[in-house]
Amino acid sequence: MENLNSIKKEILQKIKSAESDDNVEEIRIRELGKKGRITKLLSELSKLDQDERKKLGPEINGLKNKVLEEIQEKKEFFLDQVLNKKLLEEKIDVTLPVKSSQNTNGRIHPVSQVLDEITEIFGSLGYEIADGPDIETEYYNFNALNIPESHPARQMHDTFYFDEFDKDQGQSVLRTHTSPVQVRTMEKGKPPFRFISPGRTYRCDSDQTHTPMFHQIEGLSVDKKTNLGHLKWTLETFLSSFFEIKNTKIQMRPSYFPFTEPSLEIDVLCDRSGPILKIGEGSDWLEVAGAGMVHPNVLKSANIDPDIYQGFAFGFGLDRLAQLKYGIPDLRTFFSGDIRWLRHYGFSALDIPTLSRGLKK
Amino acid sequence: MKFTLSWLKEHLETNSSLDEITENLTEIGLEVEDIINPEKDLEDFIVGKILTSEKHPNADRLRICKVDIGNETKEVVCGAPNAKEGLLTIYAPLGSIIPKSKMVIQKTKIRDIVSYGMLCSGDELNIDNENEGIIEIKKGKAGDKASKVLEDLDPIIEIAITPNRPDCLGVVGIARDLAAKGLGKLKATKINTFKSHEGSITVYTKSTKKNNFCNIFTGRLIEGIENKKSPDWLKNRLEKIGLRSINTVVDITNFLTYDRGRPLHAYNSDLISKNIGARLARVGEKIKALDGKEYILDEETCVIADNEKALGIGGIIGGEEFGSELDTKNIFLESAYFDPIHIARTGRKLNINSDARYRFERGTDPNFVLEGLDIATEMILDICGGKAGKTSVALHEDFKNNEINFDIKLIEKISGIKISSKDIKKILLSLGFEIDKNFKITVPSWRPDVSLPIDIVEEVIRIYGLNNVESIPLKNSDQPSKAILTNSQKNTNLIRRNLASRGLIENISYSFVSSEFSDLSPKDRKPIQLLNPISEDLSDMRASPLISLISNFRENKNRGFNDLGIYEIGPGFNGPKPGQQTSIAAGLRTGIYKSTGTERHWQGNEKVDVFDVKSDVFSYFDLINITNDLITHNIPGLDWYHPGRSANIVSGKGEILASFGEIHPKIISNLNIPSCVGFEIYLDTMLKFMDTQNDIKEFTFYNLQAVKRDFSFDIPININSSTLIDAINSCNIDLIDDIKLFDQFIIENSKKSLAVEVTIQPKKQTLKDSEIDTICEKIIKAIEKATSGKLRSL
Repeated sequence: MENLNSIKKEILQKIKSAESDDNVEEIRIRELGKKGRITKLLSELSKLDQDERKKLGPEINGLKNKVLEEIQEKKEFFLDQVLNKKLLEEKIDVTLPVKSSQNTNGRIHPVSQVLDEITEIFGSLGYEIADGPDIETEYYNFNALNIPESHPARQMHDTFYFDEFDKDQGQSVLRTHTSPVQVRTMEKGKPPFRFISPGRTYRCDSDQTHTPMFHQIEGLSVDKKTNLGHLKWTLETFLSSFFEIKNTKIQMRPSYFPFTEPSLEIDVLCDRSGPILKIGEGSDWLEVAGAGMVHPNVLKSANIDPDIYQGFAFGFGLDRLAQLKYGIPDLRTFFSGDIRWLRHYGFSALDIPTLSRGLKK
Repeated sequence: MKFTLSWLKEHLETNSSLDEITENLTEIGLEVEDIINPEKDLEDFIVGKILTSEKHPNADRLRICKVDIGNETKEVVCGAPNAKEGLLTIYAPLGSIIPKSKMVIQKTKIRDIVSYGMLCSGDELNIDNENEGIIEIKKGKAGDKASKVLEDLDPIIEIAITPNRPDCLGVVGIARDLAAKGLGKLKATKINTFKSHEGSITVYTKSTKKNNFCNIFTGRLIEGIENKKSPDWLKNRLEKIGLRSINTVVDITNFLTYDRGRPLHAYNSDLISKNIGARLARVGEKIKALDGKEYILDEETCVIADNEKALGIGGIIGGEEFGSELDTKNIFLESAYFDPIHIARTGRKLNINSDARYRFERGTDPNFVLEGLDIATEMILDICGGKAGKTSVALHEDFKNNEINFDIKLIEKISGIKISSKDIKKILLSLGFEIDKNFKITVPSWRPDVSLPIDIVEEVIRIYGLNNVESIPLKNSDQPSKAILTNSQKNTNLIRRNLASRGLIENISYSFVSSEFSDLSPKDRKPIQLLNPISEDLSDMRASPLISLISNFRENKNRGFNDLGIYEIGPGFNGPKPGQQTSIAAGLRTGIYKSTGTERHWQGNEKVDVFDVKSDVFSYFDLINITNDLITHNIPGLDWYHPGRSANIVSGKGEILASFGEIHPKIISNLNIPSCVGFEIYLDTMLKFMDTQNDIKEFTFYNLQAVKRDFSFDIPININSSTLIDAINSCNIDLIDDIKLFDQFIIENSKKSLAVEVTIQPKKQTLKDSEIDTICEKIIKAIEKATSGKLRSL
């Protein structure tokens, strides 16, 4: 017994202090090889009588298993050491930066993004999108919209003109509003109508809050009974969805546009007390849109009988909506093409606004 | 339009507060833009008495004043020359806000001396226009509230008047609207009778039905007046609203303009011969106007003239020599009705903005022409004395009030609000409308904007209150079956997001560019120039958004950004008529902004090349399933591309679907920018092209293994790879499933080698070797024939 114990102790000590895989192999051969000490002890077992065999057998086998286990472990230790050394030699600098991905580099301009948001909302209300030309005639830009020549309202428009004249349609102009699309679209179709017309508009005016080109979005709804109450609901619904606030409060004030009667301006509740303007709370009012009931003369221009059909129209500044929603201070920066601005305020290509996902970034 | 509260109260009997009045003004469509209320603004200000005033040790013009403000003494640094001992003035304590500049008063060190507050001028307090020194107070004592001792704290209200409301360009019109809203009672106008004498002058108007410019021309002589500086009340009234007081006669005409919306003009009658009226100018007739400028007139301009000469431009501005001065003794006071359209046209043509033009072009009250003349006459007689002559009248046509047959149901039909017939009547009557028992409405002469039943609806609900309109849902009856976007809109959205997902940044630029870019456009394209551009560098409509992007690159480069990937979807213009525009998606890559990496990187980077933008174009073609066999390259691309490094992509019908290439080196050097590459996709043509494509085809599985064969050809260097691909396609072998060009190398100056992999897909049965060989031979023959090249290896 003592003998076995001291052997075990000695072997384990040797394994422990082995310095290489070769060392361990030497120990294995010496102890467990064909002529190894433990192998020998095992073979000698058969010479013992049954009682002793019963007693020593398991002990020697136990010793053998223990030594095997220890050798295995030690061997693995040295193998790992070698592998690790090799792997460490293969080391690379994983902190190096990656190439920026296409998806994150690209940007959608805030005006396009906001238009997509608005399209979602009005689409869900059954409005189609109508387009029209940037270069218009005086007829469509003014006369058809109940703004005859010499009307003082023409001066409010600061119109850009071209040296191009049509004897029926008048001079070519850059459209001063998206309202000509109303008449063009109604001319081509039959009531009822429900559409919005977004687009570039132009006025000969430039300062901090005016750029010679800007975007408007106009909406029109014409049917037999469409009235101011429907207009109010539509604008409240739109503003609530757009700014994602519950029960947006709006205020309608009488105003004047030649193409609507009655004409109104639309204010939305806002809070100016903090550093950031907040829509939908507070006690101040912020003007956001012009609106009104389509003037009978405009319906007539589009060959629609104003005694049967009536409806409302409204117009927002698209850029301004983007400014309000995303806190962009200066209108002029929208069209400056400054790459820093575009990166900062632009949206990811995958940021596609839908009603289910929500209409915010 | 500006007026003061007390002025309003001359016409409106009311107990309403300033707040109530201004809130209601906005509610009825007279939008309040600004309120100056000195009483509120001066709440924090105190009367101070200067106890001592010493020269500032470090400044010649400044003084250090000890100011008694009742319960304590403050030291204030003051620059006013009149800051003398004993003076009672107004002291602005720390924290108060100066009414005019909105500056907040803070403890400030001025040249090393701390000033605790400020002494104020009348101008700074919005009390008067005096800004030479600090205000001097006659009554009260130190510590009194400023608003207690200051006189004339009349609030000033400024409202925006929409062009349809000329009646509110006189204070009386505003009062009438407020009275209708229920804020008081409109005071009746009383005109004191005055004696008129024989003195008269004959008047005329040459206005005709066909050429109508002045329907009514009236006036009277007033002789022996003593013109002088205006009395204080009149002077103050005008100055408060920002007008300059000139002399009594002129001030009275200006007063009537603002009080009644009735412009008048007073001529020095000693300088005019005995017949005065309105006629059209002679071509080239000149007049020197009150603004000091000389105008050369044409035969469409109405002038006021005597027998010999023009005295003024009718309804717009008077002549400089014939006005009323302080020493003028005899005047002819004119009151006329000028045609709005005529005045608008003339005013715009001559570019003169005057209070008279402003009112006449919006429409004055034709029935107030004589009354206005009488009110002004009476005021002149009252202040300046003199004898009034008889009124002379030249009348071209009697005015008829508009009449409207109104059905009160229209109000609910339009507004959704039920308003009782009694309320409707009350509102309309208070606005001056007359209503008979059948609801035939006579429109008052001061409301030229009201002519249709819908206008009556507006009047009623405007006064009744738009806040009574209740929301009524207007649901979408088509939901959810109907698509909202057109194919064109869907396609635009797709390409927008596709380009952004390729790392390009969307830009939106003005549709107009500098004329220097028109020279870069295709030669057969005439520049489309604005007649009145906002500036020289925004004068021409662009041919393509690509032009804007190139211009934008130059600007960004000047800011230090050389590596850009930008795109814009917008109009390109090819003529100055509606419809002469096309929707283009254009992109530009510069520097190292490649499709495979956009910035300097340790793994290396290369300069952008034509294939970066070609892949932008073709990634979109792939998205919409446009295969190579549907399109061809037309070389070179449009004029703004490098002729050797660009192409148009055209449809089978020869329409240009897209264009790409290196930007023309001439443009690059003209604009002094580095070389760059761009593309354009023509969305309108693209859309027509897509419409001709069929829907998705059914997918067929082939279980037999495909065979791949590589071919390599030596061909002349000027033969394009597309010739080779086309040659394979032209064999019309329907087993060929795919062709990939996978290698190119230049052998020598005149030769290159191209390698292709052809995939052959057996469909019904496995191909025998001999069958495959036949196909290969066919391919080789076709390529060698088309390219005059030779097979290199198989």
